[in-house]
Amino acid sequence: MTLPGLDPLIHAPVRLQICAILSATDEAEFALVREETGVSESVLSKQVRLLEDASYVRVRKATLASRQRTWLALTAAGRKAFAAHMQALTRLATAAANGVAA
Amino acid sequence: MTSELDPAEALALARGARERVAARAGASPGWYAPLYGLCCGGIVAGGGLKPPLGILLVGGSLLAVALLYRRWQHLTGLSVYGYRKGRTRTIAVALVVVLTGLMVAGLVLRERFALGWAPLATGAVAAILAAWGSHSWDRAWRAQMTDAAQ
Repeated sequence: MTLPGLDPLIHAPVRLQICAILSATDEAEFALVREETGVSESVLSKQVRLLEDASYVRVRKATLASRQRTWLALTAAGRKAFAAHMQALTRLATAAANGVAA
Repeated sequence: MTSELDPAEALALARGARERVAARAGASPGWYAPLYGLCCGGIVAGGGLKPPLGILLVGGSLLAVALLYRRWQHLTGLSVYGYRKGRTRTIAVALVVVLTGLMVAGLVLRERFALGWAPLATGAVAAILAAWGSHSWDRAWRAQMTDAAQ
């Protein structure tokens, strides 16, 4: 895919869901993201690390109610990339629905 | 799950994820908005009352708001900035303006017109408005979350 805005790193299903969840909020707990994506902890860790290496996701550890919790957030670059990706997908889906070659 | 999604599938997947988080947020406990309203009412009333009672009420209410938010974070696994872009920001800013106005009104009525009960009355109005504002903010945020193109 070469359409401007489409980001192969975000397009993978699990990473797309991670970005979608994080784009809706400022921070989400790792456990919540794991539940909502339906993947194992190790799979999610790996996918998060890929997004973190690309500076799309920030990981923060904090203690809340005497429990160590891991919080995930989209960085400004991650938000921008995800928004561009969603816009590109929307354009492609519209073109496909209208029978236009993208 | 396939590694290559077509655009419509990808959009549906992203929308579904956001909708599930919106549903979780929608399951916020029913006591949140009323308690938030009470805390804001305490801040407004305290701001108009004489010290040290006023200062104690403002301080205690601010602490209660912080604890309330932490409890909500603990229950939902989410963290949200109140002034985030969109209709949520409009609601949050409007609420701050109205509550500040009520606090000043309570103070002026007590100081200039010797109406000692005025801060309590403006605090009660503030509590109702803040509870309503919290509920409206929550609805606006959930609506924003389900907007996949945002």
